[in-house]
Amino acid sequence: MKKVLAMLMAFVMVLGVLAGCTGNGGNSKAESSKPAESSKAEQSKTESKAEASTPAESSEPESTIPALPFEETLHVSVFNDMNAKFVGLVEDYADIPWYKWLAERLNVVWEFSNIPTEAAAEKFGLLISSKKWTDVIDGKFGNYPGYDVQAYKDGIIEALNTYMDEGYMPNMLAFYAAFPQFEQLVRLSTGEYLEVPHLRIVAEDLNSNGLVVRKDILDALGLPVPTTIDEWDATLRAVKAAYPDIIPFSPRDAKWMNSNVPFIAAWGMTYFEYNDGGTAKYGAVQDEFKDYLTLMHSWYEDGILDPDWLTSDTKIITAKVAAGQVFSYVGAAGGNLRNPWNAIVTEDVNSPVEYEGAPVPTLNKGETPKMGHRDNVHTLYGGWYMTTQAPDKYRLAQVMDFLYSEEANRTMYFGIEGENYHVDPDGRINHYEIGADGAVVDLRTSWEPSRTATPSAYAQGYFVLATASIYKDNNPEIATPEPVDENADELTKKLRHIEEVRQTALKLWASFDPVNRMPELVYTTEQLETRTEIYSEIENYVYEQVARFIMGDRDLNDFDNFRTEVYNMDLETALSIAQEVLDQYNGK
Amino acid sequence: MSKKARTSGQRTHWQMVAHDLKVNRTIYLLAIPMLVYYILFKYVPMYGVTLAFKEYKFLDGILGSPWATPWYKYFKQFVTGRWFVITVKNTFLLSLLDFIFGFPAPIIFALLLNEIRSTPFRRTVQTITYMPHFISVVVVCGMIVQFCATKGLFNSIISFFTGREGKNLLMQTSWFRPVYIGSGIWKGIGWNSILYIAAIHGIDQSQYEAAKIDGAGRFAQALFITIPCMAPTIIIKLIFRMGDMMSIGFEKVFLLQNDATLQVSEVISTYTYKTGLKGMKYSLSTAINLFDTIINLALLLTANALARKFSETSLF
Amino acid sequence: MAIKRTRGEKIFTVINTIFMLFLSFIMLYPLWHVLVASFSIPTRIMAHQGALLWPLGYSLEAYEAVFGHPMLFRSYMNTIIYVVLGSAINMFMTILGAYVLSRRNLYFKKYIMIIITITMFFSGGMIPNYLLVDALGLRDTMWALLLPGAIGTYNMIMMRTYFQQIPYDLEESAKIDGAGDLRILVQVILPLSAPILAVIGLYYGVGHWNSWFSAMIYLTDRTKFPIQLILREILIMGQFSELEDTAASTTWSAVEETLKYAIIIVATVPILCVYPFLQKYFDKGVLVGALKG
Repeated sequence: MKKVLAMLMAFVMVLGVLAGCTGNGGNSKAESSKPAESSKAEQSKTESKAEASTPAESSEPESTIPALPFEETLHVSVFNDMNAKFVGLVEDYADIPWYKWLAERLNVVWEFSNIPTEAAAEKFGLLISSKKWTDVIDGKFGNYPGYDVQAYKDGIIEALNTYMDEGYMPNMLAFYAAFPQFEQLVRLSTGEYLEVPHLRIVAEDLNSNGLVVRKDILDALGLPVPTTIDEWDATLRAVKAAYPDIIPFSPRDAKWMNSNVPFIAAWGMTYFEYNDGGTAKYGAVQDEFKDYLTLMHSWYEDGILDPDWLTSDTKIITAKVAAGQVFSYVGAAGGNLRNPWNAIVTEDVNSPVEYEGAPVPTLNKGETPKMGHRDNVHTLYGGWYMTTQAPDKYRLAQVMDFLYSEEANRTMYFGIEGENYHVDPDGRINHYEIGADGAVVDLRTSWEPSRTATPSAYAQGYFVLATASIYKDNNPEIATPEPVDENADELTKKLRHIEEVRQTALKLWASFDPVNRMPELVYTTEQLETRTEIYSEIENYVYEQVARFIMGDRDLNDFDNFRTEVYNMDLETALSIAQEVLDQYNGK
Repeated sequence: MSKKARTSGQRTHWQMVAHDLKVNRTIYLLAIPMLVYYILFKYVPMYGVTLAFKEYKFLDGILGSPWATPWYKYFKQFVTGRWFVITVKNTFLLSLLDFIFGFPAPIIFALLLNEIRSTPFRRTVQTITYMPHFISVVVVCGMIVQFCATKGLFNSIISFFTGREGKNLLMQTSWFRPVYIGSGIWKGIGWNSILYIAAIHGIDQSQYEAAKIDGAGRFAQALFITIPCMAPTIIIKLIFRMGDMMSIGFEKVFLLQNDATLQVSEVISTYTYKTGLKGMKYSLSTAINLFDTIINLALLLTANALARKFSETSLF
Repeated sequence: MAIKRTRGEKIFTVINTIFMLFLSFIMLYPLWHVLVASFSIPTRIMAHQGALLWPLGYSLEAYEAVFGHPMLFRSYMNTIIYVVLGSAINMFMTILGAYVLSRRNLYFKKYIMIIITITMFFSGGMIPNYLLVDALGLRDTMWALLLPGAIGTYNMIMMRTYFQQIPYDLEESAKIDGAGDLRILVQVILPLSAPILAVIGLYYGVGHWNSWFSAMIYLTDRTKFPIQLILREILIMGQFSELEDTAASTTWSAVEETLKYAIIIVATVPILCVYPFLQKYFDKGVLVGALKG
């Protein structure tokens, strides 16, 4: 039976080749390998693995689309910058396990430029100016005048539509079909797709910051974790009264007070643009903003707010937190929730200090917050762009497309079988190994013991993880629970506990209903330029005046003048653009 | 010894040039490496200055890019910006204050150091004082931020003397400039004095001998020998300093400023950074640089002219 | 009269000495802080605020992180080469230039000065310079770091000023003995210029030691990287722990806190070792009088 099948397929293949060669003027698009000899079986396997096959493919002579891995090695040069994660671990991205795996899987040779991040903007400018471009450019077009759209018009970037239409990018098509809301973010209004985007589609990946409180102090005072503004006010004052040497609230720095909306979110807004039931509004000119400022001002006057708040930064906060001098602050998922606490327990494993994440505050008890910290799904101008100078565009498109395949995503998240996990008898993926002495080894650290080593950690950016992130929670594929080392010492147990608190906090911070959040709108280049110009002026001004209001350098009764000043800076123009696009988005 | 005096009869202009070339031919030969360097590495790329007047199109290169319409477009953009007056004022004032207090400091220090008789002590002090120059500005500013905190070192000292509780110094507009200037002096006084010390040590010792014989004390010696002999070095350095007036470095101001002090701490370089004018808006940043440069040049030429009038030393 | 002077001088000496000690203290303390912090246990530095007199605990973690970088010693070697070779080129070019500019009765001197000074103000910017270096075929070579900056105009003018101050009669007497311009440079000017040569040499040397921007722009071959670039990399590496928010890490290091201090020490100590050697050159008084006649 198999033999018959094989012969049949070979026959069809040959037919296809003949049809292709004689047909449409010999699709000479591929200066690439002749696909005729590659096994049909492999090719259909690849295609069926894609989440959904597009109808177009089946009618085309499939043999013109090379199968992966390629017959002939494809060289791909990529302009990238070294993400901080990899500095010191690898000198070349090509040595990262994930890219190594990709190289093997696709028969590709990578040539990364590995620019140090600080030089990235300059080097990018020089790259473009020198007119000798790599095949792929990773991101960076935010710096290009007119952004990626202009780069496309100028002939630097290649639009991917051709390749998508002709079946070279099945995974992307499948993804967009399954997630039209994300397709919206990537596709230009004129219909082009310019990039293979970096997307983070799971809510938790988008939130990393929120309020943190000292649980042990709350317990000592007999108070619950505050959830409303009034509760916060009362709690902070109580803390101040009982512990005069501890700073009740210490923000990381002034801008974080806005971007992480610790308290302003309670009024359902930020300092800047937000969405009030379909109307684009600006936080700083709302009446409620004055309430917020009044509260902050009273906190500053009464010593609730850290007197050094404007000169704070991550290091300083971390130091204060590690020294136990702070009751509440705005924590970041990695940095200043886990690290200073780790420092405390490393010093003294029996320290009573206990932190906990607090939810986004609201005005009234029991409400779900309508605003909170959230990054954008689409990293603007992040993603892989194909340049017009790439010699083998069709195959390159396939390579770029493969990054969105289920196979690639699984490898990105789980790792490589045998290295980062093994499969349990019941079919589940298990990352852990129990050594003879009972010690638990996390196979994900196999590559580099001092760092988390899942290949996903090593892949730059956030290539979809569409499927990958979904694997994070409640994933039936992963063996649970994580084995616990019975012989672990106190410190390890404490560190695990800290990690659990951190994970809980992350979920808590992400649990708000982003109704008031301005959705990710796609603007035209002209709109973007106008808005950027206007807003960069306004935003700096707002930050400055907020500081002065809070410190009392400017009287709160002067708020109306402040409002007028902001309007005079052309706020309406920028806001009306937002309204226009928002209406389109809402389908009006 | 003037060569002109030797001629018998008038020489034409060209004859003078020919004569000069002949007599000084070795010198001109020696000048070739320098001239080649300047032409190749400084003048060949200088067409980049035209960026300030052009609409830069990456693919056309600088020379191929079209002229901006109108040619002063980017200058206008800069000058009519909301923060133009404040940033220019702050840049200039900060620089001026730094000049008034920071320029004499290394000179005075060099003089005082010169008065230390014990060589080992003097050398040790010298070495120690130039160390701050090597600590990166990021670390220095980190320390400054700590010291200026509400309960930081500076406030402890201030409360000790005034009995009042301090407020964060860097959050007060009145303290920004003193902190900026003071820390600048701290960082640079040792390193900047090296040149002056070298100048002092280049002075003919016999002059001092003669002065001592005439009964001059140390102070008089310093006043009438040391300082005049240092004068050329000081004057040239001063002229250069004038040519640096509008150049306030970005990093230090950026690290020390915050929203409370922007009215005094926002300078041209930080403003352009914040409004996203870094990155690839080459035309605009070139225009702004040109603006600064022209002011600097004007000041330098003025200083040079004054130096020519009142002293023997000048740049040209 | 004599007594008054001596007492006044004595008081002055005392005050001066106290002042110098005070200066030394306020300069030394921050460096001491840096040194001490670099040997401390990172977690304790993290929690520490205020003054630091002694290491908090003892830990070589920071130095391990620095020296553990594979490129560290290589880049040290690179930098030494760049410093030595670079400064040699600098001094050669600068001495010639300063000498030319210090000559009297040079018809074109003023024009040359103007040409040179203009370049201090107007420069083409990064793109034209990059394209030039590329066109010359110097990209990704050591020469891209050493040639474009071969002359520091400021330094050259300082040297010129110094040369101008050497008494002209010394030159004259050499000329009478039949010396040409080149011999005057070598036999008259240079021997008397030890102080300025030492200072300018120091400026150039330190400049090369501290430089990283040109390397960042022009070099892609890592084996050519200078030390400052590697140190910046190490610093970024240390900061990673801030950014990480992926899966749990059971081992975690606060080494970033002390890393930045260790980096300063590693970057500064070599210069501190070199300086004393140069110091005696500009400390030495020059007895021009002894050479007369």
